Amino acid sequence: MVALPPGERAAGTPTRRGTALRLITGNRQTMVGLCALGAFAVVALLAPVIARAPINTQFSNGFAAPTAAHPLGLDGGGFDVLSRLVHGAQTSLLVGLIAALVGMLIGGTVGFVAGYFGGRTDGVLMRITDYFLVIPDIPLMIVAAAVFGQSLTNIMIVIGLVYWASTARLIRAQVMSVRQRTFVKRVEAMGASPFFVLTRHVVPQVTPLLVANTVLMVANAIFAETYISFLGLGDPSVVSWGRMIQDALDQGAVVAGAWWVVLPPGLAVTLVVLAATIAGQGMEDTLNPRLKVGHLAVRRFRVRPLHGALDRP
Amino acid sequence: MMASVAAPLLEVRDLGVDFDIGRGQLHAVRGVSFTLHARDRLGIVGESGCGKSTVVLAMMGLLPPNAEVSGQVLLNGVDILAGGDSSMRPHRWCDISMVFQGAMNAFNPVRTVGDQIAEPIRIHLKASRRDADKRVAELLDMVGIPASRAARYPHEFSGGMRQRAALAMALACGPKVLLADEPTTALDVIVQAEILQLLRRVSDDLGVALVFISHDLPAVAQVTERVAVMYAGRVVEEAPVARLLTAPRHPYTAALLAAIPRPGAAATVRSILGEPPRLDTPVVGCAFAPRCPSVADICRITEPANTFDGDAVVACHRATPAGLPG
Repeated sequence: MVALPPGERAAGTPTRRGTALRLITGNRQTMVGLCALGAFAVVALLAPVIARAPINTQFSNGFAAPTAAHPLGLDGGGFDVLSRLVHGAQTSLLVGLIAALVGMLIGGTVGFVAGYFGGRTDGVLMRITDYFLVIPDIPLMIVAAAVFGQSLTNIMIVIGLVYWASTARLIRAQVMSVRQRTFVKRVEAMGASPFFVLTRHVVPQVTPLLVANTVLMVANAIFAETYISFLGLGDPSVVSWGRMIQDALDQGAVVAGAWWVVLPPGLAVTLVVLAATIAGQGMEDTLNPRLKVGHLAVRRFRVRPLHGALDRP
Repeated sequence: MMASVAAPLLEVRDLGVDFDIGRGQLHAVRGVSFTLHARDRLGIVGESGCGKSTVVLAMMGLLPPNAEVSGQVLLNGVDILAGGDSSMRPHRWCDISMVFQGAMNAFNPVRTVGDQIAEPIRIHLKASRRDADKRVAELLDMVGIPASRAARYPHEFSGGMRQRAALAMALACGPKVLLADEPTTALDVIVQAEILQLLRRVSDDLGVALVFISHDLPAVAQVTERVAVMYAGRVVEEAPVARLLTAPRHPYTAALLAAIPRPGAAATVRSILGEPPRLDTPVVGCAFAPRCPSVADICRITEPANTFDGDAVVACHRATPAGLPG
C-alpha cells in the first residue's frame, strides 16, 4: 500500500518484462546455477570437438591411467573416458530437459484446469494426482522401463510421468489463490470469458513459478536418468553418465583402483544436479521473498540431494 | 422525483439472497426494493454484514454458486437476473458496472493501469488497440489523471489515484448504472472528499445512476439524494437525505446518527448496545427489537411491514409520520 512519489520508479519494479528478467538476474545463486548449466550445455554441444577419440573404439584391453592422448584414461573395456563423459553429457542433459518439459506440460495443464475450474473437475484431477504422488517412483520407473522397452524416449516419458504430480499440486494451489484475488473477480464482473481470465491474468501470475519448478525438476530428472541407467534399464545403445558408472562397477574399477573411471561421471552428475537445484532455488527465492528471511523459510539451507524432494511442505 | 412519469432505469424488486451454508440457510438479504432513474443517486448504509455488498454482487450476478437469488432486477423493464449467467454477461460493465471495494486489489499488479482500463473496452466493444488507448486517455482525463500515466503500474499510483483509475475503469463502456461498493474506505479524509466530489460530478455529467454503498453515513449524505438504511438484510428506512438526517423515523437510523462523532459537540458519541441478529435462523418479529430503545411487545412478534409516507419508506411498528417513535 506504499504510495510512491509521482514519477519515481522503485528498484525491482515488477513490470512484466521485468519479472521475467528478475527471475534470472535477480539472484546471484540463480545466475551461478544457470551459468554452470550453460557450461555443461556448451560442452555437450561441442562434444565431437572437445573429445576427438571415438567412443566405440577399444584402445586397450583394460584400464589405463590418464595420458596425454587420453586425458581421463581408458575404462575396463578400453574406451576413452573423456570422450564418453562429454557424449554422455548430451544424453543426460537432453533427458533431463525433455523429461522436465513433459512433467511441466502435464503438471501445468492439470494444475491450471483443476485450480481454475475447481469443484468436481478439481476433485477428480487431484485424486489422480494423489495416486501418482504416492506411487513409489523408483519401482514404477523400473517397471515402466522394463515393460515399454529400454529406449531413450521411453525413459524421458516415464520420468516426466512420475514427476508431474508435484508440479500439478503446486500450480493448482497458486492458481486457486490468484483466482480469489479481487482483480480476477473484477475481470469476471466485466463479462470476460474464462479463456480471457486464464490467459491474461492467471497464467502471467503463475508462469514464473512454473519455470522455477521446471528448473528444479531438471535436476531430479537428470538424477533419475542416472540411476535408471545405473540399474541397467537405460538405453543400451547410447552412452550416459549412469551407464558409465554401471560399467565401472561391472568392470571392477573400484577394485582395480581406476579412480579416473568412477569419479568423472559421478562428479558430473553431482555438479549438474547441484547447478539446476541452486538455479531453481534461487528463482524460488526471487519469487517468494519470505524464503530469504530465516525464520520464515522452511529450510535455511535447502539442497535436495534426492529425487522426489520437489514436494512442498 | 415522486412525480416522475418516465419509466425507471433500474428497478430492484423484492431482492432476496439466501446462502446455503451446509447446516442450513443464511438469509443475507430479505426483500430489498428500490428504484433508480438516470442521474439518481442512492446510498445504502448499514453496519458490516447487513447485506449491502451482497445486494450489489447479486445485481452483478457475481455471487458464489451456493447463493440463491430471488426477486427481480429490471433494467429498462427487462429482468437481467432471469436468464442466468450467459444473459447477464452482455449487461455487465456496459449497462451496470461497479467500483470494487479496495481499489488496490482491483488491479492486477503486473499489468499496467491503462492496459486494465482498456480491458472492458476490448471485451465488449471489440475495439482495436489504438481506439482503446484513445478511450483510456479520455477516461483518465475525466477522472483527473494525466493520460501519460496509463503506462504505469498500479503500485506506482497513490491510493486516491488508484481509486480514480478504478472509477475510470468502471466507466469504460459507458454504463447506465454504477455500483460503488465502499469506494472511499481506507482513504484519508481529503482524498475521500475528492473522490466523493468526483462521483457526483461523473453521475451528473454522464447521466449515470449511482448506487453508493458505505458504512459511512456522512460520506453517503454528501453524494446521494436518497439513502436506504439496511439492517440484518432488510431496508428498514429509505428517505431523501435531508429528511433522513433531520427526522429519522426508524430507531436504528436514529441510533446511527447518534453514533456519528461530531467535532466540537459536547454530546458524547453513543454506541448501539448489543449486536445484530444471527441470520442463519429465521428472524421473528423486528430484527432490531433486541437492541431497540423504543421496543414494544408487537415488535417481538410480527415483522413490521413497509409503511409509505410520501417519498419515504419505513419498516417500524413504532414509527410515526412526525419522526422518531416515542
